[in-house]
Amino acid sequence: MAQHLFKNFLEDQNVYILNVSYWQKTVTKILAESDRQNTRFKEYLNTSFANGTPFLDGNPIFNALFENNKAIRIIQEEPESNEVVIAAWLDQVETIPELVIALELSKESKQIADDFIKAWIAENVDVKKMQRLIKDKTIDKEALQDTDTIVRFAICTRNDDYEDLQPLKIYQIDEFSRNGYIRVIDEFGKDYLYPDNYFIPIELPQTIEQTLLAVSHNIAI
Amino acid sequence: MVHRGRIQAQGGGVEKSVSWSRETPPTKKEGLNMINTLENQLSPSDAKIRAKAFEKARSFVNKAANNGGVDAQVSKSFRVKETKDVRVDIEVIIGKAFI
Repeated sequence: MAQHLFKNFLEDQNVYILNVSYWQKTVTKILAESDRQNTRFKEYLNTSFANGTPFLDGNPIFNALFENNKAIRIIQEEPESNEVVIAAWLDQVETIPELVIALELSKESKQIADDFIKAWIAENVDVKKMQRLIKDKTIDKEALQDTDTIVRFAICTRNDDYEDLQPLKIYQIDEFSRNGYIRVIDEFGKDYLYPDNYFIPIELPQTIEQTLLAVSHNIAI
Repeated sequence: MVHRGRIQAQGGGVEKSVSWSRETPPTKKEGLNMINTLENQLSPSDAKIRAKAFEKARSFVNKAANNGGVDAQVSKSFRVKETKDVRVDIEVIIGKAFI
């Protein structure tokens, strides 16, 4: 169960201001703890309308361009559940790589966000390593909690409207969604969303599952 | 002065965008039309899953118009919750938008 922080940040402007300051202090602390206290950063996005009225919507609640030519944008969403909600992806601002973190702020999601910020800025990991870290830390826990076992594969049962799908073929599941969609990975390693009723999730014996996962990661067994 | 920006549908294997680069800033009406154009470019399932995100994008354009528009650089991502990165982005890269 997530322990939310600054829960009413969208309702109370004073809380919002404290919340913004909290993120600034968080980043400063992460840099200091990594012996990077001299790393300078500045805002690169405008977070007010043209008449000066601030957005105050948490989108983003923090943004910074760092001197190692990387950027971070944090989007804080209104808490809607008791679960730990966090997602992240890499984007590009002109030529500058940008880490985007979207979360419902809780003690638990904050810990993951801290790890992302530390890796991206303090440890200066490259895009590939960052993508791996994001994937490792933001696996779709909600879907996995619905069952006692981790379902990693599904059989396609139909392909009407989606001719790229092959019925009877086994696909690796990348992510479940509660909106009635499932993200699967094709034979080229690309992930796509499809309606979840086009698939039947399957449990496989561990040895077979490991073999298939190894194949999908191009690891020689 | 050039005004430049784009509205994108991203994530989940989708990467579609509608962009502008012109001497006058796009109006609220033009911004909303661009969102509609982008939504119509998607498959029904890709549009459906982003329905709320498109609504939030429209709401932002409306709010911007009520407050004199926005000046670059603005970057908004309206994410579909419970997905990793399925979203609709609005980027105002240079100049003004949604007046």
